[in-house]
Amino acid sequence: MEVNIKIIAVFAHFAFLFVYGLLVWALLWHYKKYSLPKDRARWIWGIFIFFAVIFALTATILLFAVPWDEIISQ
Amino acid sequence: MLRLHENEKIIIAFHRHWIVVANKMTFAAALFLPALVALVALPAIEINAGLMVLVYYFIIAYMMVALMIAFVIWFDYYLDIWIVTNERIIDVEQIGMFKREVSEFLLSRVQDITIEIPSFVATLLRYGNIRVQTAGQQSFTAKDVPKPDKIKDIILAEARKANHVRTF
Repeated sequence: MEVNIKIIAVFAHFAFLFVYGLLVWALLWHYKKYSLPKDRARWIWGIFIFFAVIFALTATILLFAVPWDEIISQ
Repeated sequence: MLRLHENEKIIIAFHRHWIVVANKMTFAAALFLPALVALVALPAIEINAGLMVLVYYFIIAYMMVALMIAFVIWFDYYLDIWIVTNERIIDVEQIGMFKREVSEFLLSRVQDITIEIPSFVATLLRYGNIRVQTAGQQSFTAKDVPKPDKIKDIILAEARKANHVRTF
């Protein structure tokens, strides 16, 4: 039971990250295609991707740190 | 992707005034607020440590979604752009994440330009609306653009040049 929930949680997490990454990639592609050549707003992209990566890594670490056996036994 | 004709050059490209995105970002900031409050308040609540890790996980996932919403708001604002070249005015409107509308108006067909400063805040921050009327009763309106008087002067100057070139 514990293994099943952990597997489902990990699968759901990486599915969420995959969809999120896909959206980010699609937005970035769209932006590169339609922004002007000398665009001064590229730094905003940098900030967004920086925080998105930090959040994604933190969430992944937290997910693997969850003591599933403790939570299930409660 | 903007494709310029031969001998065509961009005179000015402008977005809406920053106040537009600042207003919308207050909504994005409001989305982050509950997560930040929860992050700060959670240690004070007596819950199982394992459960707390799980709650932190959901808070971070929520913040990822809020970050994406904030970014899409900026993206929608930033890809709304008006480009004045020496031949035409290009009005690009980004609708949502992937839908766009692009309209073009030849400078040689520009007949009237009206600018409107709609409020006291607009006067203070120097933004307003520009309505350009072309021959054939087409028109477009650029709302909440910075320094509309300067943009109007640029469009009129380029329209005069375009008509002068057309005459000869």
